[in-house]
Amino acid sequence: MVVTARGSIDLHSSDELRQRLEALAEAGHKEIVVDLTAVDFCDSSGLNVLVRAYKNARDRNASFSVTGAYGRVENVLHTTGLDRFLIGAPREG
Amino acid sequence: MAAARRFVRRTLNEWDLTQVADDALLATSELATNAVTYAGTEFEVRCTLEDGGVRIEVLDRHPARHIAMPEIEATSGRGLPSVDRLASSWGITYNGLTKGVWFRLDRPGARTGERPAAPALSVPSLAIDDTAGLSLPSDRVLDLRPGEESLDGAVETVRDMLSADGVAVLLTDRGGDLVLGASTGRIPDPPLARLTVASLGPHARVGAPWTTDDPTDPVAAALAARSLVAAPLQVQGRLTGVLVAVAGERGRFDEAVGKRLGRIAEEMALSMERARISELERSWRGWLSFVAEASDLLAGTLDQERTMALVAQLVVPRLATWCAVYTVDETKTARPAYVWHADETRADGLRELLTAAPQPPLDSSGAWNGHTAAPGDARAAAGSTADDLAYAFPLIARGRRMGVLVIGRPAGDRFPQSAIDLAEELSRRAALAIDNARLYTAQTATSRALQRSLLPPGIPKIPGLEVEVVYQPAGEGSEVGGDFYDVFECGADPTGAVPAARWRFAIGDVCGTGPEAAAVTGLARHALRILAAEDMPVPDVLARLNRLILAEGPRARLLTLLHGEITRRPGRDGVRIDLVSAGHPLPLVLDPDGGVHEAAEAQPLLGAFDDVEFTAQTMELRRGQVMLCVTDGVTERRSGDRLLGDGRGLENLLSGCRGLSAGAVAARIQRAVRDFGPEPSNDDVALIVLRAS
Repeated sequence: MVVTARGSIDLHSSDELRQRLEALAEAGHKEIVVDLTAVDFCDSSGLNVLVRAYKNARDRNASFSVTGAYGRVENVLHTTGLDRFLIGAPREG
Repeated sequence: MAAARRFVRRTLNEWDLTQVADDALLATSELATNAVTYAGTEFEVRCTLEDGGVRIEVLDRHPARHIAMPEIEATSGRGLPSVDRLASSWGITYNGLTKGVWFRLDRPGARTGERPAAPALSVPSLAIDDTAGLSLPSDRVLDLRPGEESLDGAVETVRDMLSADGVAVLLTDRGGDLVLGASTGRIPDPPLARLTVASLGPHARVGAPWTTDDPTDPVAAALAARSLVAAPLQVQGRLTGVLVAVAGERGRFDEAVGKRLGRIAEEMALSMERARISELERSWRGWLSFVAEASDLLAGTLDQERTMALVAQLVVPRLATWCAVYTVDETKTARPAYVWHADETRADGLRELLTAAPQPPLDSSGAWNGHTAAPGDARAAAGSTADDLAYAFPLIARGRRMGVLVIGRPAGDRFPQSAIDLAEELSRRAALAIDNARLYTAQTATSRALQRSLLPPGIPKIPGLEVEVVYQPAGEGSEVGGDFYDVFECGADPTGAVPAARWRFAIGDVCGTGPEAAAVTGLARHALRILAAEDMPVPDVLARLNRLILAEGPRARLLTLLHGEITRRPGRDGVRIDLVSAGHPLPLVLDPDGGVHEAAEAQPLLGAFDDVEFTAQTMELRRGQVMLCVTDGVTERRSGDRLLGDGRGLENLLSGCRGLSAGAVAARIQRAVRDFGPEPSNDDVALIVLRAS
């Protein structure tokens, strides 16, 4: 299941992404990918949503990853060390 | 409106919910104001006792009109947002015929979640002398008498029709007296004797016209008439007045004239009633919009002083000639804090008078004459103001007595009931606004204290290294931010015999703000110092802190942290730094030639993963080199779509700082952050600058 996000993931929009990801997890999806190709900014609240989704997936023995990050988003994923967890995370199980 | 308020107060008293009465009354008034002003219909109020609280619904019969009409949002009537602030939940119901807005207030103690005490800060314009927004000439709103110009025309017409010598309309006033409303021709003004409804003959009581030649008839005597024909003005059996035609000689009017006058009177009574109702409605709406506007202005201020000043300006001159807002101190002593007089030259005298007078009552409202009991010299200074009429309204919100509102008018000028009702309503709203401002002030002070406790008390001196820190929390100080920094000595000889040789520094950013972020900030800052005292290496400190944050469970927050240890280089210049950047914006180093490079590699942030190990990276900061550590409040400073950190923005900024001291670099970066965008920054900004010397 690929979720395509657009625009900025910040304090105002991150909650919507969180709800979407939680709904997918509850629906039992085992492989969730967030496509960040069209995202130009992601702040710490957005990172928080991604981390939660990742941990939630790991607890469910499912996989969660992001793809397509570039520019600022790629930078922030790198700086925070999240890239090694979130990008191309190997599918478990 | 008053009836709705009484109903809600009584009902809540019966249900033992008096603690929420203030909020309930305020919210009910807001919704009723909306119903009357915007839907323009009658409204109905329903209270329902629910588990742990009360639900109050205001229904109007205008389901088609939407609640969020543009003009409501644009100008006045931010009624719904106010309800939003007061109530634990609210909503809207439609059932075809009626539209209802309901809200729910929890019984204190039954609350599931605290609602924030401080509403969003917006500062209203104080330019309220521009009455366009209020459109309330002070006397018009309070005078509910029907338009008398139309009566002047009517009496002229009647005089022509009946060829009378004079025609008068006598109106029933509140006390049952008949007073001259309009007259033409031979009618003494004022009438020669007092006329009352009770003194009228049996005809008037049954609503029939009558004629008389008897000069001792009370109406004839009062109007100096030899003969007269009169017809009662009645609306639904209520005598609103008498229409009288008079003549200078006896026997001028017969029964047919009486019947004719009776028909005219019927018509006149109806049109007078229509005029009265529409006037009543106009002034009613006028005062509703005044109250709505006033509460808007009051809700917008979170500054106690300004709120009180605003109240004074709202009252004068619309409701009263002068007004004073008293504040109460711990000893229950009330002092006039704001004194406002329509005539500014009288304000000082008034203040002196009120300061010298006994204080107004703190818990009951009504007419007050304390100022007349002031000492003679104060009364002399106040001039005629010393004899003015005054009313006092205590300012009580959430059970707290905060002060008194006193309003005054010149002695000859009585207060209409509507002005008193309005002042009372205003005092209730003002009390709540002042209390909100007080809570906000208290909260701000607490936040500042908490914020201070999260920051180090001072920065140690490190030989060979200039250290400069900048910390600037976002917002108005009501929220504790998530940024923090620390610089401290470690591994010092406890006896102080040997000077310290190692120091640690940290700069961090907790995701989010508020008390939970502050809890993680506190945890991190203390853990760093405690673990340093145990001489735990920096990477191990981060691994331990990571586990500590994760152990917080649902209260855990993401934390990015740059943490390092500074060691002297004996016999050489500059310092050695062992550091870890755990998800934090990377530190930058400025060389004396203006070159800038990143000084560490990114490692994962804290509070996210439980199986992370960290490794220290070692670097040397030599004489003239500058290291800059920032939080994302710097790199993500926004101007439109542009961020300060875009396209090596921070590197370029730092590159321009060559040759500057640590303090000058910090100041320049701080200024650049501030000036980057037109809007003030909405994030905390922290930075540490280290310069080897």
